[in-house]
Amino acid sequence: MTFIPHLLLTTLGVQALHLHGGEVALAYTFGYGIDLVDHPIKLPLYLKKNGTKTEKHYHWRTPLQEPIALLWIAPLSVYLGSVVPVLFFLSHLLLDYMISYDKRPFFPFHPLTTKGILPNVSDALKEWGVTIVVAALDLALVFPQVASIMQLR
Amino acid sequence: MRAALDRRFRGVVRLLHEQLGLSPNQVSLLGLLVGFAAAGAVATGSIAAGLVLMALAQIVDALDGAMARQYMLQSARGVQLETLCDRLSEALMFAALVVAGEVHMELALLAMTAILLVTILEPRSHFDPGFKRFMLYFGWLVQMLFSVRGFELAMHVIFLANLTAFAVGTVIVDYRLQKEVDAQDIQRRALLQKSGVAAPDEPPTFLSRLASWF
Repeated sequence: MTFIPHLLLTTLGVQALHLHGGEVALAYTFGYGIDLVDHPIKLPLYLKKNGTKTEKHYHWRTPLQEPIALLWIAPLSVYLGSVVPVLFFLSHLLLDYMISYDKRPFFPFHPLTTKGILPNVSDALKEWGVTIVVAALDLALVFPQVASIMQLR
Repeated sequence: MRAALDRRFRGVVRLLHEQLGLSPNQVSLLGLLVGFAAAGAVATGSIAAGLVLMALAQIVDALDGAMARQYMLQSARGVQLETLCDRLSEALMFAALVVAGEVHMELALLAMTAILLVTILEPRSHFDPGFKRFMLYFGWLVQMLFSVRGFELAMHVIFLANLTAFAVGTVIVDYRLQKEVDAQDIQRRALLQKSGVAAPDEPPTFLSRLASWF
């Protein structure tokens, strides 16, 4: 999924769970930031193969944002004494697995490839649907806070 | 470095194999026994003696591989046994440090988990940061010099380094696969172009437009 639904869902999680300080940073790192680390890794390979030409379904993902990453994220969560990394990484996975590009959930331990959840439903529909619902929930959570600040003034 | 070590150990290896009749696997088990003794010493509070025994176990550990190479006795089973002995030695030493009150159990378990993750991935990634036991000497040194909980510090480093190595290892394996897939695709495309049935280019995306600026 594109960065907007990821950011919106992470923001929703941060607000709903009333996270503060370092936990907010962890939430954005595992809810969204993992994309910023993951995709550039394959950029040199993409450019070598395609130059500036477009390849729509190029496999940009690495195991950093596949379920197999839970093998290192779960121990990290225990180490940090916070469920935030696991929770927000799962939210990231959920959104990514709604889009129908190829994913290798258990690579390098198993070669299974999947297109994710509801592959027959249009990706655009799923993306827009999720974006609208999550944005509405974000606003619903933010609005009372803004209203109470206004009232205080 | 391995060749230099092998040369250095040649005499001892000859003695162990030709005079005492030991096989590389038996040497691996001997290393485990010395590691067990090291853990026992640490658990009973003799930390320095335990570390000396651990150093001895590491030397014995290097001899099994050197012997296998010198006498052409390498086998997949031997590698597995060596890895198993190494992990058992480390687990015993970590448990001993917990018993001695030098390290919290949770931290030792986390460090061991991270080491095991790297171990299961290593045959595919060929990437292992190593230095696990060396970190324990470092921990002891720090403890002696600065009166801090050095072994605890060493355990934090072991955990984080191995966890990072596991994550990086998964990326390395994936990158190699992608490189192979791309090479096959490039070949296929070249063949199609030669035969005059090349697929038309896809319309540019945001990324390709961005890349074309450079």
